[in-house]
Amino acid sequence: MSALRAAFLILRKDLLVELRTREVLATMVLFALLVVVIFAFAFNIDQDATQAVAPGILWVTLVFAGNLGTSRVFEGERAHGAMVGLMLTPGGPVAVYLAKVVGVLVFMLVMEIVIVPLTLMFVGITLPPEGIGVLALALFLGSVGFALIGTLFGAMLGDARMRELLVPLVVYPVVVPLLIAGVKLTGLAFGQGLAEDPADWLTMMVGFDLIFAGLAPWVFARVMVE
Amino acid sequence: MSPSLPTTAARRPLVWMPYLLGAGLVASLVFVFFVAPTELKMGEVQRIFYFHVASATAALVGFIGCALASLAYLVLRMMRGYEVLARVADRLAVSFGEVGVLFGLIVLITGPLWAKPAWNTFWTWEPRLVLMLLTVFLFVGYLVLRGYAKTDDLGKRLAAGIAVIGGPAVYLIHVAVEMWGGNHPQVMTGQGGGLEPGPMRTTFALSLASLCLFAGYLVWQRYQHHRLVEQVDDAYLTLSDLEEQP
Repeated sequence: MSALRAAFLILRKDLLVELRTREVLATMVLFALLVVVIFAFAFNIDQDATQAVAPGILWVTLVFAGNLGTSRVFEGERAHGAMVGLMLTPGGPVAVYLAKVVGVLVFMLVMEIVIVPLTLMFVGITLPPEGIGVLALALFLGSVGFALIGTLFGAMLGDARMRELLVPLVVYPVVVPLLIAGVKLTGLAFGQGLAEDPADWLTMMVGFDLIFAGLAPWVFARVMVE
Repeated sequence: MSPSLPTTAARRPLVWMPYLLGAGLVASLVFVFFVAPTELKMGEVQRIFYFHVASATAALVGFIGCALASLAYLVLRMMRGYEVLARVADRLAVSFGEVGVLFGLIVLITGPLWAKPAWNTFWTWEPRLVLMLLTVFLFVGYLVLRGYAKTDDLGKRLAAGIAVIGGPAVYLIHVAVEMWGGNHPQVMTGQGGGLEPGPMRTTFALSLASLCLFAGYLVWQRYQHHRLVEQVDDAYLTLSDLEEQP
């Protein structure tokens, strides 16, 4: 039980720090808002065109903003020289990783609760009631997968040289399956395009999340420990 | 402590390999341009297929080799008594990654050259193209990171971690883009090759064999290169240690 408890304590510490500083969430939400507004301008040919690209706008915004959250995931610990101590906590590196993933996931979900309705409002889409479930599921599964990958690479490349180049170069290709599935499912939820069965895409996202939920903690433990 | 220099043949095994490779590649070209018949629908441009698909195969082998060797490195480096093997795996991983990216770039160059006459566009957002492009991005990231590593162990571990994640990621990208749909020619399907036995198949087999052999030789050469670089680094470190002692 000590691993779970250690993970819980690390998560609680991160959320407390965030509650008192509101640094990460404020950055993510404001950045996402600006990206949505800029996209809405950039694609504002006419109402129909904007609505057609709305799923793409939404998901690119979420990935960009999520990147802000994940690239600094160990910044506090690194700045205060606490990385070694953190890795030596009773739960070991896997507990540390899982705590950070859940933390990032919480940040992403909170950001999405703010950003998604605003995006729908900006592009003038009314979400059909039967689409809410699919959209929520897609957002949740996509955020889990992004948190798994983003936290791993953010932690690994946190103080690498050329971090600004490397993080996008390796994170974006890996999360492309989530982006494709997310955009498809969001389009379906909006009632755009042909009525397809969302089950295949949701299965693919679940598969993505499961594969990396198994692999990423192992890689984290192997890479981050001397 | 200076060992006697080995003879040329011992120092450079496979010294005859470039001649075999040269002969194989020239023979492939002869077959591609003079033996293989002109394809009925696509015409002459189809001849690029023999090198395009063979390069894609070599790239794929390179990426898989890189991911597997990286996995081996991450496993072996934690095991006592396997330090030497771990370094071998790390050097193999870089060599496979480099050759994979090289052949991936060849695929990305020959593909558009064929696509312009055949599809009337250099680039289209089509599953196979997107897959190869993203995979090359991913392994370029691997090489950039591994390039900084030099002698430090952390950089090597970081790069290996990326390659290990990259393996299943490439598979998932493949699944996702296939679901997305596309119009790439499906020559190699699960039900055996679409090529009938005959000059076309012979030509393809020949170019596939020569390019894969070429890729393998490049991996071996890069491996030797990385081994020498590490030896020089080690010698330099030993030397500076000796100089510090009065």
